[in-house]
Amino acid sequence: MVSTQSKTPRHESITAICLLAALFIIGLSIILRQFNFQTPVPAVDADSKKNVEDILKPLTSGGFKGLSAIEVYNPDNLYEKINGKAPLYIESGFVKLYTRWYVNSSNEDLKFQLYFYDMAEPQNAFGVFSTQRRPDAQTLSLFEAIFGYKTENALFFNYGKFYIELIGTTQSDELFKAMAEFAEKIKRSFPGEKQIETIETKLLSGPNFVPGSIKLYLANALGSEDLTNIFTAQLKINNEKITVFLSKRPGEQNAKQLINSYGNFLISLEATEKQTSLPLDSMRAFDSFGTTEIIFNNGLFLAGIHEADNLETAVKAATLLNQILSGAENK
Amino acid sequence: MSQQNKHNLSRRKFIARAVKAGLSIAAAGLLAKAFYDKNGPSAQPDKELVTLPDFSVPSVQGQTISIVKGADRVKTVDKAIELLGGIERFVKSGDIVVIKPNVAFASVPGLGATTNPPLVAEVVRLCYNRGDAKQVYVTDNPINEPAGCFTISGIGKAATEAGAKIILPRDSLFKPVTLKGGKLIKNWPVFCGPLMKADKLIGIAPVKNHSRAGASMTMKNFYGLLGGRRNIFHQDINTIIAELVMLVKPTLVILDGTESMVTNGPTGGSFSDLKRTDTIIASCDPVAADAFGCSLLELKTNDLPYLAKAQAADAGTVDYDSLKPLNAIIS
Repeated sequence: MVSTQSKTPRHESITAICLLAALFIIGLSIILRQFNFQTPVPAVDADSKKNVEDILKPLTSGGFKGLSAIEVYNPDNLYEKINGKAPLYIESGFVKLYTRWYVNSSNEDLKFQLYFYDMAEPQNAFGVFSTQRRPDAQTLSLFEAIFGYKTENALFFNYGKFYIELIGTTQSDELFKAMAEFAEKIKRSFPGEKQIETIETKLLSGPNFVPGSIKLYLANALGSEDLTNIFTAQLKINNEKITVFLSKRPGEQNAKQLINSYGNFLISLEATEKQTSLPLDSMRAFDSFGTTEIIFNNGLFLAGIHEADNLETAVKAATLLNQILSGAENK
Repeated sequence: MSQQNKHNLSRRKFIARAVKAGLSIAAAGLLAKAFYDKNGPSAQPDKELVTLPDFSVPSVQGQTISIVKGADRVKTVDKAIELLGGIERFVKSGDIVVIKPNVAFASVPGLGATTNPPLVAEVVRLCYNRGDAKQVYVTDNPINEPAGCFTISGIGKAATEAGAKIILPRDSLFKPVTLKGGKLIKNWPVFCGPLMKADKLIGIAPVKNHSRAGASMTMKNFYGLLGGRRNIFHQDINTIIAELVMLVKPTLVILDGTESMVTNGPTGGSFSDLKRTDTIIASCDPVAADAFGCSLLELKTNDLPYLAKAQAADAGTVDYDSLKPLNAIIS
């Protein structure tokens, strides 16, 4: 038997080696990746570059100590902590939740739980904070009225990109004092955080509005899918509180389009458009389930009145809101 | 062995080989397309269908639902059950009873996110003392860490002191279950271990606002029997709740509207999320119980689409008035 050994050309050898090397790299990458499945990325505070968990770990308040380790949740497992509320946060840019129980060293009936939500951006944090705001809550001296409040057993506040809840197990002055101290320490521990500041929050914080009543709906505002980034607030008029809404849009055309789409949305819910003279050309009024809705634009501002008791009050409120917008800079 | 010079490939041979290679690739592609199933594998063949026992008792005309007003949960639930014929109608001597409260969260009782512990204890006592039950189990598959939830909610202690045994979830107690005709519950792990050895099933749930479902009451309470990554069902929450009430046929449900969580559900966090509504409903029909529960949250029944879905599936009636509810007031 005679064997013939042919010599493989050099370029074929090089090509084969390259292909084998590529396959090896792909295989190795797959192996490494599968052992690195969903590796948590530590949230880092922009200024200090420290891990949020590391900053929270040593925080306590007088007479209280951490009862458990800090639990950390991400968008994949947030539901394990807050179940049906998880979509509210996830749809608003949620990054991480840090939670921990704290207990009084001498009275274990006094406990509070920290819920520290990293929402990536101040406007996301303000959105989840403000839309969950309890009515008639008291303001927190530590924060401006629109950014914090307290109830009988808990503190809720928005600080920069964070939304924080401190929930006490009972109503107690001692517990409340500890939670207030803890809130202050949080504020000091994240010195670089900036609160949301927009033309809408500035306008809706004026003297005509109920302090702390501003809410930001990032999506599905007033039930309509088309309405995004809508601020609402309570306008004081004739001893009544009227809900107004406001949003600075990227263009006047966009604001006008939203007037039409919101009008169509109301009509789809069996609202009827009121055929009456209104103070602005762009203004439209609707009777919706016995309440009055008004929507209009003033330059880039989309604005309106939500669920007013009657047309007369709604028009007065819309006129006042329009005057406020006309005086606004940065239109 | 014949000799062949591999580098002496004629053009004819090259074309023939290229055509063969092309045909092979095309055939493989066509074969892959033929086998491609864009819907993915079906969940489970019907022959492996696993269902839960039917725990319902024979209906008695005019004794399907009772609505009792009162501030004291123990007295109120006693009266509500008495109006339906007493616990003896539901629990027979020697029965093994499973009670399914809402223990979803590691939340203290005062916040109303979980079932009230004294209420659970009273139903346990009724089952033993009047129903002469052989054994009463209290169980749930909480969202948070199970042992912690039973401890912090106070339900573990209250139930144990009343003589019940707590069953915490573990892998061996889950079985894949398929709901016949169901869209979502297909080969899904269900916490059915405790149910398979039970004669009767009683659900006890608080009335809560729910940010995803609109409300969480007796029907949503059975969500706690689902295992796995059940949060995926939040995308189709109305269907899953309707399917749960098709899957689980309880003996009795008790809806606790003594204090209803009217905002920020299902977790709440502030005492101000609760409103006194001083009502307990006992019902053989969970759909009817939840339909009435809507009124405690100032909702209309059509605000909760799962009610209509459940009714359409013959799982109960939204028109609770047609059942002629038995009413009482406990002063």
